Amino acid sequence: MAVIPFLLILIPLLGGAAVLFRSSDNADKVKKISLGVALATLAVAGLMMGLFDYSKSNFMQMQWEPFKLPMLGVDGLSLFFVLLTAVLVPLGMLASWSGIQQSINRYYGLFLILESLIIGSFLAANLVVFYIFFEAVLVPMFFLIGIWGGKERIAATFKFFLYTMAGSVLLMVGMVFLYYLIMTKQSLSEDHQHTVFWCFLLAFAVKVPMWPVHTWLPAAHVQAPTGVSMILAGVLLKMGGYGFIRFMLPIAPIACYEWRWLLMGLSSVAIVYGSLVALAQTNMKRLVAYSSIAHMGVVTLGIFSATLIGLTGAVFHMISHGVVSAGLFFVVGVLYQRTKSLDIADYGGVAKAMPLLAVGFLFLTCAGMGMPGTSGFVGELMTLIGTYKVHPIWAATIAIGLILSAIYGLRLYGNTMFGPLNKNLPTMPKLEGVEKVVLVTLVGLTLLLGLYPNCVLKTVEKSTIKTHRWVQSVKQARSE
Amino acid sequence: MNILPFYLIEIILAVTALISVGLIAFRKPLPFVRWFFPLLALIMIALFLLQGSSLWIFGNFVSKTLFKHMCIFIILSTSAIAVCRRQCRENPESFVFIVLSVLGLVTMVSARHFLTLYVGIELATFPVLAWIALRRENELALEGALKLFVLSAVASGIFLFGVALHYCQTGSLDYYFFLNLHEANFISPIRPFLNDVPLISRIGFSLILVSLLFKVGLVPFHFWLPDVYQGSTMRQVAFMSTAMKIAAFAVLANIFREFQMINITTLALLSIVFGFVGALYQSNIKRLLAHSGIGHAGFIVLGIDANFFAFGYLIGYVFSLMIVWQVLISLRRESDYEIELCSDLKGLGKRHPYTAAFLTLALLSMMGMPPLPVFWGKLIVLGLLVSKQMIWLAGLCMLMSVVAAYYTLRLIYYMYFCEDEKSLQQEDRSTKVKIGNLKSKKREFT
Repeated sequence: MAVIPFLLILIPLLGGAAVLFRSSDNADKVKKISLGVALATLAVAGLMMGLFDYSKSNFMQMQWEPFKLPMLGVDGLSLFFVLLTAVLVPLGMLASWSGIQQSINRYYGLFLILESLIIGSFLAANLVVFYIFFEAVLVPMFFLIGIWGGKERIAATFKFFLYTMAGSVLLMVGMVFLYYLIMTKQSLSEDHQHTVFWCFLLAFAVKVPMWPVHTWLPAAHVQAPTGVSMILAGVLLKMGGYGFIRFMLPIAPIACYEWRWLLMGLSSVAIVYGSLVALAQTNMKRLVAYSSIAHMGVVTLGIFSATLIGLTGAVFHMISHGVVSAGLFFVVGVLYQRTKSLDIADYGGVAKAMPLLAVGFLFLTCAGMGMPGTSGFVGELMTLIGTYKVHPIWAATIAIGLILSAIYGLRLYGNTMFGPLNKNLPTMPKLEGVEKVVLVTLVGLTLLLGLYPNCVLKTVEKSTIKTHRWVQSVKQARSE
Repeated sequence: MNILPFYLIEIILAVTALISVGLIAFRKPLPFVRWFFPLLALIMIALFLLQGSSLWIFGNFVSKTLFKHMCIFIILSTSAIAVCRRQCRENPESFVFIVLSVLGLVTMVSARHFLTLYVGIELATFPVLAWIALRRENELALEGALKLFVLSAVASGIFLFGVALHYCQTGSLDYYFFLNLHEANFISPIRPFLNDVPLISRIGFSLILVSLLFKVGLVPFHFWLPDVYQGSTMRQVAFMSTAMKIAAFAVLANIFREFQMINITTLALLSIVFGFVGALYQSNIKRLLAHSGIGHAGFIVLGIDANFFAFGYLIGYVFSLMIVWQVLISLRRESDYEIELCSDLKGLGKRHPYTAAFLTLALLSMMGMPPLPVFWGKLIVLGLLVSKQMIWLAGLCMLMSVVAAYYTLRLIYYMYFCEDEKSLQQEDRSTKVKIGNLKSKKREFT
């Protein structure tokens, strides 16, 4: 049983390394092999889901403990993130099936290695292991964005790497500080908690991204190729949120509680600012990138609201946003591949040429807006309730964010899909087989999560209750 | 007591140097050049396994502890890169220089008496000078050798002055009296920084420290590194930056292990800043690696403390650096000129994918990317800083390593994201050699 997390990391890593060192003479074979490896990983993740003990989902299961040191393990919180990664990676590969032309073996090899490292960070049972994977993720991303990206990819990839690394080196300092406290057998007093809080905050805030340190996101997203964008928005951002919930809340609850106004304020700014800037965009990809910032603002608002329902809503919203934003980037990527343009003005009436895409796009846009029935509604509602409990004004920002997301979402949709077919568009072939698979899967997941959120919630809830207990004890101590 | 295995390495080195001189005098070739240092390293392992790691003290001059054994072994292994068959055919004296320098390094590391240490330092530095200066027609090489000579001589002078002051106070040149200075006054054995040590010894201590920091390359004393590295060939720089640095650090650890290096913290921080920031603008790869060496030296010095030495950091850094040097040296063979500029690496990802992959791995390791070696070293150093309650310093140092990330990424960018301009440059290069003396005036300043 303990071997399953280990396999989940090992299979894509070895597969990626094997693909990386093949020559790219036979492009089809390379693509098929790498897709096979990704599907194998998905199969093992499914096995993990099957073997998981849902009644004990607040405990770490399937722990891999070499030399009595817990290294890898999965619990209710990380299970769905791992599954999300395992699902999104094959979809990302399918999305870039015909989009990548040069050095195909390296692209797919790096993609698989990236998958392995992301899964590793979610499966980490140990802060050091988490940190190793957290940092290591940057290296394949650097290459993926820098070699196969858009026009200004070099600047974007440097910005992404250096920004994220600057944040996570402080995580290293915090980690060493914790180790020192443990070794000298000191308990975590309030001052210590504050130090740890500030060290961890910057790392995860840059990753999420929270409002003042979000500027790497539009650059990286716009310049990244489609498959990489899907993974970046779908999974990489969640590593930050996961870090908050897994590490920061339990270790420094006093500091999190005391500083929650600041963090909730920053999240609100992210929601409103992100949505407003998205409204002003003419570049499709940048619009979706800013909407990602807004949605992750909802997530952090939920995390730091210090309520159970807010926290659970945040976790659900992370999973839902993973699916939805991957889908949105996929749609944008499909359009880009056919016309090589990301400007909204160049589009119009695409629904006439690609009806299936239009339908899928509509579902995804509604999910981004928080339409009930889609997955976006559940997370936003729960976060809304959670923040309303804290202070009604914060909840108003979520409401403003929802309205604005409706405006920019529908504006994007209407300007590209509806209306007369734009004369400047080249002939747009309909969706190919692989693209249909991706779209249908993502829309299906959105609907599944929206219509039956309990499939995820009942497992997640047990873990978030456990995490919330830390903050709750602080709350009770303060209110007495 | 059977002295032979104890001194075997030094005896082999000295005898080999003499035999080589003899062979050179009679214009015979040197057949053993290629496998000499690896063999010596293996002999070292055999000695260690046979004799164990007990403390050996011979007279009052030399001792060999476990730490010293390890350092000597690493010095021998890294010296293997210094030997180049072609150069040993054309200028066979270079082999003698290397052997004598390694003999000096081994003596430095195993010293237990300031006189032995001085002999070791001098024996280590001067042959390297002559080796660099062998390239008489290259102006940069002569400049580098001259700078190394003058500055090393000044540093040695300062060192002797410090030793003399120490002798004035304690009456002995043995380490014991240096390491146990507190016993001169019989005050408590925990000394923050020489508070209870008489003034003359304090001055002497500082002067000795200054001279050793010069060898290591810490900040106010680092100016010689980029210029000397630029003037040397790849193998010379590889030898200097690995073997000589290890010996210098080992000496620092031996001498100053009883004292907390709190006052060195400022210098170390400045080194980290100047080293990594200074490397940002370099376009010559040897200068860039010199600056990065200064930065990493700052990190290692932060890790020197009573009963502690950031050995892991040093090992990780030296091994990554060895890979870098080996790759850069191997790139020379295809083009018959040396890699000078960073942009010479352009297109390496396509030309030699495996070599580029190794270089990338080594560069990422030097940047501090987990799970590669230097990351663990950084953890050790950070652990030490945190245990001394200097968290702000730890944070600053780590932010500086982000600066290091930039130039590392730039090298990777040259390798993988840029097209190959080699064919263009090769025609330029032949003209450049002829007007080399004029071009060398236009250098980068730090």
